[in-house]
Amino acid sequence: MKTVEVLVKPDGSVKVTYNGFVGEACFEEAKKVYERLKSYGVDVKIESVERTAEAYVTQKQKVVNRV
Amino acid sequence: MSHISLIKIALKNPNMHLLKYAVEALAKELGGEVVTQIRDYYGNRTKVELGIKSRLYSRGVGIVVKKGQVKLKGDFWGYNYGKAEQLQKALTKNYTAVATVSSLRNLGYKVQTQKVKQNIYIKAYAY
Repeated sequence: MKTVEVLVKPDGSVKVTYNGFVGEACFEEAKKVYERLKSYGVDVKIESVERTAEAYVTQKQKVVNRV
Repeated sequence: MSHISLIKIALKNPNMHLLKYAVEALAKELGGEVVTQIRDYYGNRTKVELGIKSRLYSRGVGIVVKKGQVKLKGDFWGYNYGKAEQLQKALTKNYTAVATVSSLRNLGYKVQTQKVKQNIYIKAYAY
C-alpha cells in the first residue's frame, strides 16, 4: 500500500512523507502531486529531501525477501 | 524508494472554488462566519466577494486576489499587526491543505484529514 502523509504547519511549511513506493517511484509521484498543487496556485519550493530506509530496497530485493 | 520532503509554500493565482472552501473552514475554526461585507472603524460598509467575521475580527476581513496574490482587506485599526499576519498564515495553511486533499484525490488516493494542535495532518493511501 502506498501512502502519502502531509503535515501542513502554521508557518506555511509542509512536511510530506512518501511510503510504500519502489525504486524512484516516490519521486515521480511527488512530481505529480506538486504539479497538481501548482495548478491550484500552490507554489512549492523543496527545502530538503531525506530518503527513508525503504528507499534502498529495489523491486528484485522485495521479491527475494518474500520467498 | 520513499522519502521525506520539507517544502515551503507560496500562493499564486489560487483556485477560487478551493479558496472559498478554505475560507469557510477558517471561519469555522475561528468560531465566525463567511461574510460578503466588511466595515471600517466608523461603521462604513464595503462589499467583498469573500470575507471572514469573528470575535477576533469583529469588523470583518475581506479576502481578495489581486495580481494573483491573496491579500487581506479591512480596517485593522485597533488590531495589533500580528493579528493580520496570523490570519494570512492561517489562510495559507488552510488553502494548502484543501488543495493538497484535492490533488491527492485527483491522483486516485483515499484521503483523511485531521487537526493536530495547530497543524493539519493529511493521510492519503492507494493500493
